[in-house]
Amino acid sequence: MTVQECYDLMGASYSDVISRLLTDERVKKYLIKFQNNNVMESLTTAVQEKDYEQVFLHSHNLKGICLNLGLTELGHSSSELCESVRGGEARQDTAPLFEQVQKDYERVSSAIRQLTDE
Amino acid sequence: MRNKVLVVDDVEMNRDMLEEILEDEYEVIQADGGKKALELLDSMKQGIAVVLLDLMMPEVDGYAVLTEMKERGLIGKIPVLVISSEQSVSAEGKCFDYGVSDFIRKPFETSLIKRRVKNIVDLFQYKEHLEDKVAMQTKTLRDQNRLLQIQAEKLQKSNTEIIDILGNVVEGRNMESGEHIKRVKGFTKLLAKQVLANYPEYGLTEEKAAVIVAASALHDIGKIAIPDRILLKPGKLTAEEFEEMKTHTTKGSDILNNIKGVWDDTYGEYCYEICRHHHERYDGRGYPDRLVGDQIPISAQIVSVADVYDALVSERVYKNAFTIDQAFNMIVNGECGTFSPKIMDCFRKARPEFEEMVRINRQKLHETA
Repeated sequence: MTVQECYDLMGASYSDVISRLLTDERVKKYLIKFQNNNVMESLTTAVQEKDYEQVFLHSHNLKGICLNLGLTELGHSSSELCESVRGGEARQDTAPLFEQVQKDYERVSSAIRQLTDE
Repeated sequence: MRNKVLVVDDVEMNRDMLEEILEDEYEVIQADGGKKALELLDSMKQGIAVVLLDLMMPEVDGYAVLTEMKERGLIGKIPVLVISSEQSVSAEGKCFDYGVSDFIRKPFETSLIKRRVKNIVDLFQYKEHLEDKVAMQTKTLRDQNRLLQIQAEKLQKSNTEIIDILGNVVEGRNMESGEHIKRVKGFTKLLAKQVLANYPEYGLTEEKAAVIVAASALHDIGKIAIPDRILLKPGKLTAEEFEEMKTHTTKGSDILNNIKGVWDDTYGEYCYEICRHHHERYDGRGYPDRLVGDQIPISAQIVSVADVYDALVSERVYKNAFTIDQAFNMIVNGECGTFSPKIMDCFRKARPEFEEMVRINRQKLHETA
């Protein structure tokens, strides 16, 4: 699988990321780092503990990483989740927004696994 | 040369990404949070060329780092470049309020990050270089200024000394004018004060007035070139002798011209003017140059009144002293030369002080007698 195919699979923008990171090799390196990063676990824990300040912080971090890696859809959903808890309080749509983040993350994660398993 | 870049972000892969972009040109140091960043800033201080700062971090966040840097006076010394996925304009504004140099939104472009970092580092290094240079030049200037001041004081002191020495020469030569010079200085001072206060058109300043007072001591320097038989003659001078006596103005100014280079220009000019022109008359009938009106330098106009007044109120071998009222009236009525109406106005205004000084002088004379 090429990096471009991987990006198509995860609903992300290959043209965006390659314009900034320049080589497939580098993009792949950071995708692996992303995979090994524990930001999603931290976010999940924070949601379970209803610690919305931490939810804000980790979703904000997730959004930042997604922006840099061109992970469009995950970036979008994590940004929405982040905004929903700005100020340290959950909104009614916080729970469904988190589910969306989980779904998008799973999609990204499985695509990266396919890319690296080869 | 500062070439360390401090990257502050709680997400490791963000730090790695920045390090990879910048490591060719800088030594990149990573801090995984605000606390670590502040520790590193403390231990390395000026070694850090630029701080790349994330805003959202647990515990000590980016704003807290900025607050602390401001407290320590580091903002403005070490440039800060904020890199954040925060999209709001208010966050950006807040950062600029803190004094950050730039605000970059994620996602960032590899080449742009490089250039923006380089721009800011270069700018600050240039600024620092300029500040060093300015500080050095300021110090040099201050030193030079101090030196100049010392020299100016020295010069001023030597100017006054020269005048006093020359004044003493005249005093020694001219038997009756011992105290005359001091008294003329006193009257000159009173009159100059009035001119300074009432007639700005003459362009006097405190400094110029002080020089005129000092220079007035030399108004009769030319008398050292007048033969004793004329200078010390007890009786009335013949017309011929009087003509020779009048040359003390030109002879005196010639002497002063010869020593021109020795002292400050202002001193030299005033001494010359006073010496040469203190016998001119406002109506043009004086000597030696028959100057008319304000062609006569203000310094000489002032000293001539002081000189005449002192001659009137003092006792001389050939005459008694006039009373202060007589002396005043003789001058304002034009019996002892003609003077500018402006100078006469000043003379009237200074009358009480003139007369007080006469009383003091006469008292002194009695005490010594």
